Amino acid sequence: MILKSKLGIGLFLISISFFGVYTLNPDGPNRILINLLTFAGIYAISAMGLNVHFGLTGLINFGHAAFMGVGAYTTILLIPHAAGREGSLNESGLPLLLAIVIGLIASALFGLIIGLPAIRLRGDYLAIVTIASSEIFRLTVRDQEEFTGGVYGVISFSDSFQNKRPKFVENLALILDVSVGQLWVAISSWVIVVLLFFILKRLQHSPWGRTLRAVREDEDAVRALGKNAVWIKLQSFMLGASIAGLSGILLAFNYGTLQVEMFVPLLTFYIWAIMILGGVGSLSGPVFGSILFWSFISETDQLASLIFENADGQQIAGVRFMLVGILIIILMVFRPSGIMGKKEELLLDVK
Amino acid sequence: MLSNILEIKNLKKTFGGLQAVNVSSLELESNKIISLIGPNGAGKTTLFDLITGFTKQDEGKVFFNNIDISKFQPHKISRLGMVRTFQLTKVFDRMTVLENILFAASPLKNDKFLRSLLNSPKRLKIESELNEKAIEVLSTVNLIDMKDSFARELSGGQKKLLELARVIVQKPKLLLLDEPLAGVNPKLSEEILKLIRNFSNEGISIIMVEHNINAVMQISDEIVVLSEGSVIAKGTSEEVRNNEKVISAYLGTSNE
Amino acid sequence: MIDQLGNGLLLGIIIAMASVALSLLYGVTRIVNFAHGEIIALGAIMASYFSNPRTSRYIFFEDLSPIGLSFEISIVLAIFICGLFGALLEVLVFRPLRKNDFGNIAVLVITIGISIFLRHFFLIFASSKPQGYPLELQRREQYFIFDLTPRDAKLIVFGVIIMIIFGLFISFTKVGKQMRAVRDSNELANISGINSDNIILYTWILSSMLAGAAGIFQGMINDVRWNMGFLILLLVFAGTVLGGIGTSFGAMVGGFLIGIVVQVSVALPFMEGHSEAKNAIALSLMIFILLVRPQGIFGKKERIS
Repeated sequence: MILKSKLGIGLFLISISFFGVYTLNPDGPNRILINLLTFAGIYAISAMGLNVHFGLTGLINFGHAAFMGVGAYTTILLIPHAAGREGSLNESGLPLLLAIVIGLIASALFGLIIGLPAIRLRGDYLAIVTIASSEIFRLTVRDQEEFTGGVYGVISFSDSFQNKRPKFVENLALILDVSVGQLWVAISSWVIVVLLFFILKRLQHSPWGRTLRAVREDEDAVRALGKNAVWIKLQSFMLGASIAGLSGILLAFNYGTLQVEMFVPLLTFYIWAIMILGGVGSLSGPVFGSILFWSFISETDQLASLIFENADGQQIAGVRFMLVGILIIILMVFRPSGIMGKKEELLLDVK
Repeated sequence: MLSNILEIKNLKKTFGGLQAVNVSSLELESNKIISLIGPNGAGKTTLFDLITGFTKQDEGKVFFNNIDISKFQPHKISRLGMVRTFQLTKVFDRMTVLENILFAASPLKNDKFLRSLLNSPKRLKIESELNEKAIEVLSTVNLIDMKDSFARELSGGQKKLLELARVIVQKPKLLLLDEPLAGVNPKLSEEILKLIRNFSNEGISIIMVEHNINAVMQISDEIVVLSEGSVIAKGTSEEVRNNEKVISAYLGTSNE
Repeated sequence: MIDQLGNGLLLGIIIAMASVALSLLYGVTRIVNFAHGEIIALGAIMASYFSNPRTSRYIFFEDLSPIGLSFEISIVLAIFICGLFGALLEVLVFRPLRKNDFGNIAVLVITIGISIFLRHFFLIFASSKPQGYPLELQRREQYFIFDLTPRDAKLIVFGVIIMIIFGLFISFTKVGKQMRAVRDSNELANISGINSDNIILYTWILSSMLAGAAGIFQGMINDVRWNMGFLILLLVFAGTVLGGIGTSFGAMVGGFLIGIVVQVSVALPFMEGHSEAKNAIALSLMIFILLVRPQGIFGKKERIS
């Protein structure tokens, strides 16, 4: 019963935001909408990964952007691409699916590497270590130009993905009058969102999921009952990191270029905002949170350019981020359980 | 044949200048209910923490069924069959009562990620077996009506019962109960004592820290008295009750 | 490596000041303040706004030109504004949160929200272009073994003086001692009649002023930018962690060391051509310390895990 009304609220909010998008963008609303939905889907996947860390297991991870980055860089560098300033096309590469699988494994391994030192630390220390690790990743990638393209990034890799595009997508793109490349990313992302939802749902109530939730509740009791709390936390870290890696790969295909500056701490905080907005610990939370978040952002972008006439592009984006900051504050103070979160399962220690 | 379920040799622990525990030798027989008593601050819970690996000792050894567990981690010790409860109950608040038990009942092999991901018929069968075990145990402690409630909704006494059910479902060899009756009303205390006696009759060795002296005298086969970190007396309730050192230890501290 | 020592001292004293500020705030309030970087930036931006002449090319908030006061007065005003800002944060945000029993994690996330908001407010206020102060360029000279401009040398001296004054304040004044009492044990402090609300307010003011000063210094050796606080924040965390919780002296030493490590690491053989990654070296050092000695160099053994 409660779920119905929360679902209802969620859908209602989404309808309003779609309506807002259509109103504020009289020409080419479909393009804006598909763009919004694509980002929403990708970020929802990332938030689902973060939810495994914090929602299921109680781990404070402020380095999520790096997990997305590891997945993206590993996969993209394994398929045909052009990296760096000289940017000569590297024609050889692995088949896409294999590259993606390796990317997911790489993210999981990175999760393991960061987790090993970090996982024994208390909450606020874990926060600092994860964000520091994320920055170390970013600085290293930026530095190693021969491998990663450094500040110049990587391009010319989208073909591997767009080649797999089925015919109906092209027809659909014509009908809707949207970019066919992005539509393909959007559809793929949302298919993955749905799949992930059911996988995570099964895992949450499974014996394995129970161990994660128990660790979230009380580590000492977990140990006293014979289970290795550290290993459980590491597994959680790896799974969430892997999911984030997948979202990073999709993000790269969405932009068509891979830039290390995509994976800055602000990205991590976006995902946190989405997770909190949608409801920590809730399976459908990331979905609702992400759609609402992105609608909110695209609408405020429009409003900002109306208000600030002399501002440059960066400053308009500044308004968007200011509002994200305010959103986080307001959420935490007034509705930390988000849209879909249950009060009994309230995770952020607000009393 | 009586053997020692627990042997402690030269166990010492100091916290910031204060000697919390200093037990030169302690041997506890299996299949008994042994109570660990002593004035506040005597080091009882610290001793528990040392035995179960939650705190590292400065020196000394602990043997469980002749196995040297001195350097073992808590979860390993628990796997060997020594399970403990805590002074302040540690139930899993945001999980249901049933899930609390299922967690404890699920063997390590069953907890594996891949197995949970792929819903094989075998795993579903195991899950239903675990459910049966859980329901059985919950009936024993009379919590079966609350099985779908969140653990945080239970009263203090019910949480103690839940903790008991959780450790018992693992069929331990040695049960370490840290103040199982603390803050529990007399009627529930009787129930808990009955349960403890039943567990003992089923062959489980029990060591419990308890302040409720009446209960201790009622139920214990043997009593160990701790004062300022050391064992000052060990024997039947008769012997301990009339022991001068014990009397002065209790009188020497604040009047209870 | 010796050439970089001068720069290391400079960055070191700046991070030391900021680390001491962060460490004091955390010690007394138990808040990990992710908006600390923005208070640092506030000092620099205010100093820039007050001191630059009206005719300069700097623009604030669409078409506000800077004020053109003397540099000394600008510094004083900027530090004062930072202190005021800290007081406002405490009174308007963190005290209500505290009274309503908000947990540490929730407050941490809120400081992140504040950080994001403020940083981009600065972007709108001070534009995306780097700024500076109206000071003349100087040549580097030799001070003992250090390669510094006269202004840099003055900064180091001033920084050390500020640290000494801070140290004297925290050790010998009534308020300072009360701050330490609250830091060591809030309950005991309350019982002995210390008004922890007031102490916390003073702590916010002091910490913010110190952070603002650090920002002003940082603006002198690097540009004044809207995101300069965020760039330095992690290094400040590193300094605090390295030095140890619960000790201002530790934070100072830790901050100093981090600054030196960052600059000197550029001279290491494998870092040739990779100078941008110098921050990564310092951050890795922090993680390493957390592994082997989680309480930091001077910290007391608090439960870190």
